[in-house]
Amino acid sequence: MVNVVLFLRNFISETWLSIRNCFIVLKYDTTRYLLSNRTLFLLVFCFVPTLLYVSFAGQTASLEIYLHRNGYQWFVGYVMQIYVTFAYIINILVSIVVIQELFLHESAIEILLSSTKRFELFVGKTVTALIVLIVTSIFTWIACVIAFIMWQQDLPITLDQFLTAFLILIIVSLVPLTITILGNTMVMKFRSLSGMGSGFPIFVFFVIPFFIFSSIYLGFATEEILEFSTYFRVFFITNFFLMTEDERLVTSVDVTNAFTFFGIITILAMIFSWIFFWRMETRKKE
Amino acid sequence: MKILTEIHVQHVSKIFRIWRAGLKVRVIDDLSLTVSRGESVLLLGPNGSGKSTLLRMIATLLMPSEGKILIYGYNTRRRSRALLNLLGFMPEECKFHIGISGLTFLCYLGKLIGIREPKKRATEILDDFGLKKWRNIDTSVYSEGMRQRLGLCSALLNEPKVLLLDEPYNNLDQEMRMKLKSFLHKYVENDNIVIAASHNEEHFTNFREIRFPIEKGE
Repeated sequence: MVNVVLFLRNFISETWLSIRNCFIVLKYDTTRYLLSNRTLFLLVFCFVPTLLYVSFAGQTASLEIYLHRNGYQWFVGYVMQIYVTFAYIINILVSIVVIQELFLHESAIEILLSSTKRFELFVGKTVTALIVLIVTSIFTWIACVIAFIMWQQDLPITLDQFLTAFLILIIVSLVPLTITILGNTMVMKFRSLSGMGSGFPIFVFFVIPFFIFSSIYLGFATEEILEFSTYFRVFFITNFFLMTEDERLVTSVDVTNAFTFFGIITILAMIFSWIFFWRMETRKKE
Repeated sequence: MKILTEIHVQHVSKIFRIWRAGLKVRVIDDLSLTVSRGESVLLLGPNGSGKSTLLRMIATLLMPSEGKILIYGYNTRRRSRALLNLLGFMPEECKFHIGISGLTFLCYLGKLIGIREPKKRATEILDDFGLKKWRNIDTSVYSEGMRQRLGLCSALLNEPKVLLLDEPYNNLDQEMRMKLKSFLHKYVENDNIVIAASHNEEHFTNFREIRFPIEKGE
């Protein structure tokens, strides 16, 4: 009986300390990152989709013609689609920059690893990266709104619609987040070249889609190969949430598949990242 | 008089895999060692002889490929919180976060370790090691010697039972070397253990020397 009580007491205090330390790492790293000049760098990223949006729209035709031709509902979907797709690309770039800084270029790693548990550092840093992604996603939206104001247009999107798009964006952004963490922890574990930390996600999110799209364009592959592209699945999921109820019934299985695809990648990447981080050894430079 | 042995290094070997070259290098081979309470040990040897590797294995940063290390009964493989609280480690190259002051970093570390008043403790220790004027200044402007001192402060923050120092006198001026020397002397007198790795025995008077590289089973 005494052993059980002791075990429970230790378990509760250990869990409490772990949660507390995760929050300490989270608070410190988030403040360190967001209240520094790195945020300016992130802000520059956030304006990229707006600039692209403005330039594309300017090249094709005026907004009124589109609205007149396709209707209000189409326009809402169009804005959301562009926001999610562009912000997704931005989040891939932000993930690469932020995670490399938080994991691979963590300068005080030896002091921290010899003072605290690895799990707490890993969770704290992962959640920090997620928070930075959420912040950049909000900034990207603000930048889009500014573009509309500059065009002297009312923003025809309700808060519900925005929150749906935002939630989709965060869910799909978990894939670049975890894949980038995996790339960086692999570098830490195997002490390979630090460029691999960014090279791995660049390969997954830019090189593979490039081959997929160019293969289809050049006629080497059919459109079925698109299933291996994360962009296509992001487009699919976003589209689904902006459809009418009838349209949704037709495509619900494909959307479930897309979510399963993202879920499996995220979970596997997180498990392997943790194993690499846990087994990592820090030795002196050769 | 009963001698309490607190650190047991039992038949430890360490093999490094160099993935890029496809090589395996045995740095430490079947090493056994004991360190008692109130003892100071110097791991002495040339570069690449394995002294820092042993220090890092004790600090739980590296895992032994064979054998085990017990510190106050805790196995280093488990990296338990109780074990981590007993250890204080200063690496040879002390690096800190850019844009963060020495005091902020020590407060962060203190909170993680679970010190009750981290700011008070951090201020005290920074003052002790001559960083009073610099405590609120970004560590990126610190000189090598000041970073070394901040590394010492980080290692000593939780008043560890086992203090592990890798080349502690590097980059320190003469005055700070003398100060550290007397500090370590007093620290050991309080029944703590100090293990230092260096390629030079100067300044390490009263330390038990263990010379590297060690032959198998020595």
